Amino acid sequence: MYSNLFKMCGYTDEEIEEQRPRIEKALERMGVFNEAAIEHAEKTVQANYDVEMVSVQKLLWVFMHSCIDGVLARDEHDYVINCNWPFPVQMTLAMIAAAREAGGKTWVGMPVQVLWMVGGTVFDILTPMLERGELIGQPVGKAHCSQYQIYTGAIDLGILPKPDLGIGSGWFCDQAAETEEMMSELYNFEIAYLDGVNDWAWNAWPNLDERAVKYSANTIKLALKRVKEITGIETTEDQLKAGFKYVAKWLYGMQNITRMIGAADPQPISQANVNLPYGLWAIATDYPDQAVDGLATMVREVKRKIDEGEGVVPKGAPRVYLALRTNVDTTPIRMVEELGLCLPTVFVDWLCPQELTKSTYTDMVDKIAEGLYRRPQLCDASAALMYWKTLCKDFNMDAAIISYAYNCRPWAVDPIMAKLDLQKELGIPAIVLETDGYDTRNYSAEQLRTRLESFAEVVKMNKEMKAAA
Amino acid sequence: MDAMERLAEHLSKRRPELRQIKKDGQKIIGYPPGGYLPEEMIYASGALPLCLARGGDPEPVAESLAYIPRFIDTFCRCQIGYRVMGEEVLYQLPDLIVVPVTDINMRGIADVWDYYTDVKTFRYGVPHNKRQDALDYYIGSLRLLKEKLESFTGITITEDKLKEEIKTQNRMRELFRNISQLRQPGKTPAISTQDFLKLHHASFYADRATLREILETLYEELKQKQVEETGKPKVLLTASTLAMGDYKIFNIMNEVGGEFIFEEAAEGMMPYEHEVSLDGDPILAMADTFFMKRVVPAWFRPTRERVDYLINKAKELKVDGLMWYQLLYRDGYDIQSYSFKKEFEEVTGLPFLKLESDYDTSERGQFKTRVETFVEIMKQRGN
Amino acid sequence: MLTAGVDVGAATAKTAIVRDGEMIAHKVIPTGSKVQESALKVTEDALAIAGLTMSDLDAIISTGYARHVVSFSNRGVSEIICHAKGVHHLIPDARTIIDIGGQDSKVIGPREDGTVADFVMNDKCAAGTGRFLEVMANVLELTIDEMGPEALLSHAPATVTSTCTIFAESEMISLRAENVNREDIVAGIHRAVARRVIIMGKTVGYKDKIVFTGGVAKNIGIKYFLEKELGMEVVVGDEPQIMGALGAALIAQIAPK
Repeated sequence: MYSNLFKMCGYTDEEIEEQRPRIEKALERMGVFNEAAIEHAEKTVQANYDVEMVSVQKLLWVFMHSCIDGVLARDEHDYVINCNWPFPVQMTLAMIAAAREAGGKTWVGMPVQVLWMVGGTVFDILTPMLERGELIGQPVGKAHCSQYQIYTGAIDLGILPKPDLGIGSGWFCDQAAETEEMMSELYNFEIAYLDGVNDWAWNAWPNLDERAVKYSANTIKLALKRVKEITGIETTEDQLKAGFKYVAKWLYGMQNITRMIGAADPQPISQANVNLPYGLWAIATDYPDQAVDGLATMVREVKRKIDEGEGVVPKGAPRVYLALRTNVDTTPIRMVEELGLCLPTVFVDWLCPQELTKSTYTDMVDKIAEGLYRRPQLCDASAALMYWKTLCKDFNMDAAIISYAYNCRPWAVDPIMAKLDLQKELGIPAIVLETDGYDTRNYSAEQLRTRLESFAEVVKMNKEMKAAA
Repeated sequence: MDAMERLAEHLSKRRPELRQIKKDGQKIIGYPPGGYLPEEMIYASGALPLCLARGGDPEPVAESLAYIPRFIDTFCRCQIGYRVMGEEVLYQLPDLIVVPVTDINMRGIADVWDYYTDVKTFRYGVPHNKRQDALDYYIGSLRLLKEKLESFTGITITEDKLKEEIKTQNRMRELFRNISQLRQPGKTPAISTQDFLKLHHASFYADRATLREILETLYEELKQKQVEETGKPKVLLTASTLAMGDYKIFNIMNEVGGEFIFEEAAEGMMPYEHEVSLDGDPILAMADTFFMKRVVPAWFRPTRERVDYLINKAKELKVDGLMWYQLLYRDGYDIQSYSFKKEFEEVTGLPFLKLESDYDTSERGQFKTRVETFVEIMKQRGN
Repeated sequence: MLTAGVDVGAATAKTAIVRDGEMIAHKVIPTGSKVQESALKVTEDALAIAGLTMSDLDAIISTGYARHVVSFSNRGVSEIICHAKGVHHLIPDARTIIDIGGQDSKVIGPREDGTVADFVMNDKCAAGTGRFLEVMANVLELTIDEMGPEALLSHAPATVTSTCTIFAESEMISLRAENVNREDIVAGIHRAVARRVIIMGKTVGYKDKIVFTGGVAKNIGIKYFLEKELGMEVVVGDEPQIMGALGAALIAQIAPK
């Protein structure tokens, strides 16, 4: 029944056979162990990604495996530790490695992030989880983080197991930590928070505030200490280093893809597919080698498509920056491309020069904390504005779509500033759009369509006028 | 003329007075309410602190949409509205804005000042727990604030000067405490919560010496006052922000026959429950009062302290119910209200009412129906 | 060359017929539930005025939210582009267009040649649109045409701030319960709609000359409050509703396919 679907996601027949009991148990728990659900999933995954790309299959394989692992974590391990986005990947990878070396009694992962990708873009089953989350302290219409609505819903519905320890993110936004705090009260599990202070001075970025870095680093150390106290697992310096190595490979691969797509004309693949490597940039899994292989494959596939002149939008199409990846649904990305606009790069895939300077910290954990704040979108509005402007200039954008998430408080501050800055300083038109990272019910595709179509026409006309002049 | 009338008269003349003060060259330092900024620091630097706490008006909320998307807490979102609309003088005065960043909504206030105005901000983060490393961070923040104020005003903040200001502020806090303590458990208070709140709001921009004198008189007046028991249901109020001008819920409570007898708010009140010790390093002493002893807002984690504080207050004050007032998109309050309601009702057996405002005039009817029902329920339980 | 522009909006369907760059006929009818039929009917009606039939047309461009369902058109062009084009044709020095239609409101910044430099459009909420005024008229037991003149009678517009149609309705009811004069409530509603649209368009900016289009432009109350709140003159052309259709027909003259 599900062989075809799993093969689209990179599984072999032998593997499906070998994994059958686990697959079926997980599917059952997710409520998709029936013909109709599998059929729907086949359609969903094909609408979201170009599954004929080998790299897409390979990356989906990583997600599917991780998803099943997360759902079955309690059945297969004594201790379950959940790390939740936004969360440092190096640290999670190091803990995963440490847990594995300690004999596998403990499972460490980022099951919610995996679930949002798989539950959203493969099975399309997030709505019941969102609805359950809405009943638990995150009511509808109040712009609560849909990622955490999914988390609460998944735990409450028994799709994901309750962890023994949650490592929560309080360094970037408030809702993540606030929801976990509520969940810890409701479901009686412990949380260790990575905390942060968000007090960068305006226009100070990229000069990182050492105090803030050290403070966040210390909270990471305390979390690692707590993991040791509960499970006996100690994360070593070498494991952290290995985590860094993975991230470095990932940065390299992602930048490769970003630069290649950015320089190509026509745009060689749909940016919808890049959602997958982007996702694995932010999510640590048990399968780092397979993930890196998938990424390398995508680099090769993109290169081949460029060499062969393949394109998903017309050659010479206006170049537009899209400011948000809607993780659980690639419709908005596809819509922009269908309107004949080229998306050279999307969201925060690109690393601007300021992000690539060498670290001055020696302590591994300090480096992790520093890494978080290297990303301009995670500091303040002035840093984000600088990123957008640098990017639009560097990629020679003709326009920008400042889509921002309904659910995300930190990113709801600067969209209008960005529109004004891009128009004023770069002279390119920008449109502000409200979408959502994880909840497709929060925006109407048709309403977006009218505005995107009008915008596309404006941008095309501008481009023609520029060419005529 | 009684003390409250004198205060009203003073405040009615205060805006032009502040304009003159600015014209005469004294630096005015604005800051959003939240209780993490010790005003004594600003006084010691020779500048004048001005807490920007206006809220409750629908027009600045509508206006703000041209500057910032709607998904930020209503109070924080509408602050830019007060500045750009130009009618509220207080928002035209600051030479510098200091923002203790407690959460993203507060950071948003800093971002809009920096982007849309020529008044720059100085920010320092407030950690979300009370561990030693967090306290150290806050202490470090106060030291940076001191440096910033010194460079901004050109005046060195000596330890003596700072202690002198702490002493003056301690007296202010003591007066607020004394007045607050006139409120007896389960009894109609000598001063209404709305009036008590208005004293706090007055402290945000009144002349300190004048206010102090008024508070001294008021305290004496209130001590003498024969308070008639109204028999109305007694309500404990907890809020994310009680902004200056946002008095809708007080008016409604009055109209429907209940009374607030105590209030706790993350934003909108001057911290008055604890004084600052005069022993040792004043920065450490201020950190102890403003950070460690402060009741934690809902965005702290763990947040147990706040839950316990409110439940104990409800018991201690023998209230008949608790009203939870929050502004739209203040997620910390929205999320916490869920588990808090359960625990509060279970432990105290008292009714709980949550109201959420976007400072919109259309809320009034709905609010009134709900508060009316809430008061009715409390009355029925009392019989 | 003979072209037609068909603008199918939420409330009305409009067609303009253009011959060699000049409009020769136009027609407006309610859209109703059968969008495709209305589009056809309004076009045939407009053609009939000029004594023409469908077969005389060289090209047809559709616009408006239902532009893609107009099967007889050569192609669809977004209403923002068409509006700017139509306004430019009649009022070449327009630098800002405020368009308030049945379910959308837009502020458009056209260039000197009538192309669009910038625009904003309301999100899914109905406040600040014709639909909002219609709902309010119902609550106040007025016809939509009576609303504007009634608003001008007020000396003290009531404070109406609601950002939501549903809540505004209850706001009206409570204002009436408080015995606020009807004209003051109506004025308050008009001011609220005007303010909402003005605030929305601030990132585009308001430059002279400001032209007000769309079905709601016929409402003198909204025009009054737009001018009052902006402190600038706002111009309403003779047929504010047909700008989109006219623009579409004009684009069909230049780029029919």
